[in-house]
Amino acid sequence: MQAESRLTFRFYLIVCTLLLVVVSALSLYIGAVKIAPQDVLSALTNYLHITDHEPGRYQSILLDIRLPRVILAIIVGAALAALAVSGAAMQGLFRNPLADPGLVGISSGAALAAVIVIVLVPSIATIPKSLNIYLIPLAAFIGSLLVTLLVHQLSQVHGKTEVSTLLLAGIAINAIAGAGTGLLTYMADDTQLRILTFWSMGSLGSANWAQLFFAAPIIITALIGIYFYAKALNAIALGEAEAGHLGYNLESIKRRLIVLVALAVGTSVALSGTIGFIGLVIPHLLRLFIGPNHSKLLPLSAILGASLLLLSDLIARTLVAPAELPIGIITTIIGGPFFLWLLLRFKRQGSII
Amino acid sequence: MLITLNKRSFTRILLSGVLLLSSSVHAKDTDEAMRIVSAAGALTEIIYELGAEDKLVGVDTTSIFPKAATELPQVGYQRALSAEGILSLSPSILLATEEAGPPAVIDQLQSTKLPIMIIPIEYTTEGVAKKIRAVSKAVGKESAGQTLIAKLEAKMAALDTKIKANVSEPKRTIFIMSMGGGSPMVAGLHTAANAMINISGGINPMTSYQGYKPINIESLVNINPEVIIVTKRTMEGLGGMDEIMKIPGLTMTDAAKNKQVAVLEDMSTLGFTPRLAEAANTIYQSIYPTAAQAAE
Repeated sequence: MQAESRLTFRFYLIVCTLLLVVVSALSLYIGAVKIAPQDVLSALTNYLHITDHEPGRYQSILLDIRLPRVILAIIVGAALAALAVSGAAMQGLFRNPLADPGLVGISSGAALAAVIVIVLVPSIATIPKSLNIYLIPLAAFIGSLLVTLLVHQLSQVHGKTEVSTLLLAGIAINAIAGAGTGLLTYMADDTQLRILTFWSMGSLGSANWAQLFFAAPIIITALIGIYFYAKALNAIALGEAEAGHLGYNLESIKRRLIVLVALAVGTSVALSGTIGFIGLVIPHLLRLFIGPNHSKLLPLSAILGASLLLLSDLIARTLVAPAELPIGIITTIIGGPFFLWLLLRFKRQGSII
Repeated sequence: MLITLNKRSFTRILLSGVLLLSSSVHAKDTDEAMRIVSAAGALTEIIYELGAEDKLVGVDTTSIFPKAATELPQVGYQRALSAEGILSLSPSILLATEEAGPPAVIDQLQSTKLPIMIIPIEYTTEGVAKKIRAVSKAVGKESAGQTLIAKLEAKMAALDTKIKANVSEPKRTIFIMSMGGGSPMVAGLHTAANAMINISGGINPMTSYQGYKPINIESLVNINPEVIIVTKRTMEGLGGMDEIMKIPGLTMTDAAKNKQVAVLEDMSTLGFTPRLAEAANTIYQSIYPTAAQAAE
């Protein structure tokens, strides 16, 4: 039984990794500008200093536009999906099947901070110009951290994290942040409204190396950190008391998980806006196939999440070229019906989640 | 229960007394003078041009030129008007464009018998002339309106002559509204920017979609614009002209190679107002700097 499940895990790991490789290659090859496959290859090998060909005409498009965007899609997709798994553990913790990282205020805090920058900063002239491009992501990142810490602080009762208070505080803070965002939306002019609308539907269009150097280490560290809690998450899924009996220090685990989740989601939202459904669909989908063991669920979710976001972005930037669709629309259009179909299929077999 | 009822009815009596008082005061005002509420920046500007600003009692948030207009009572954003806010100024007429809304509020206002003039929006010289004609009729300054239209048409004709003399092939010109959402948001068909580019002797190559849409940055390489227009705010948001020139993809366009990136003071320059000729001339000069210089 054990050996068999290990085999299925390996099988799914190989399939998902292959999928990611294929989608990455397609994403590098396909775009608004047509580039021959051998040019793609030589640009990449040049970049890695394996070869020293004459740089092709489109080397800069590949290396400065497509490659950073592909990498951004991979790390953001991985973060969203793997976090949804820890979110799924939080669902157990919160005793609420709809709990997700957004519930503790991470996304709404990020959104509020981003909107503040979009609407109010043009009227503040004292900010150094060179910082301007990084202002929205930086603000979103700080906003998500602040709100998460605030919600966490509010839920402390006698030095313990009271889960039901955390849930309610999260809902209240989300509502307040939403009202703040609404107020600023009301104050925004036509141009700012357009930026706001499109930002909230997500885009990977801003990908560049400078942002990646800032974001990738944070997200990757957070993901590895969460992976170390896979066994603890399994125990928590059994129930808080059971996890305590198994010898886990629940307080410190909760606190660390919340910070790690805030770091990764906050950074993702900062760079790409709010992208829906990847986080919900991938873990539930994988759980249907490989069961609830987080040691398997976390890495597979990361790889599959990255593939799906990459594929969505490929569609987003080519379907209506030269225009671009917001990626949040694509992920939901692909993810929503697929998820429903799975749900209906497995409902008949009587085994959902 | 009884007490609250009493309190409530008392407040109601008090309120209706106040309302009655205020409405009688305003009724006297409207007999004496015309009271205009303008719900569009371009119309406000025309009212000032015609010298009828003493009749203006309220403006919307798009009325930012001339500066004096911003000090008038505000009725909110033109697409999100509120009936009571407007009526509290006891206007004798509401001037608005097709953009005014929401429709339910316009209906409410119409049901109060408030005269409302809805002026169509056309991104042409004739469109501006129509606005002037309508406003001048509403404020009873029709001859001043005629003069204003004649001046505008003369200036536009002069620009047209310049374009015909100097431009053999219109330059591909795009307008980037913002970059804040990630991908650049570029003007397509049916936008003021599109019309302004075409009026000013350029040609907007973004014809596959309508409105302002985010575009895939590498497709800029295919489109290869010769001129890029941005607003001052966008330029500052990106960290200045040097940073714009470093945006991957953009660097490969003729516009970046020839340093033909023009900065527009504000979106309102695209407003199709009485200042149309000045705006079009500014854009013409940024598209064809050498021809414009040679002419001077």
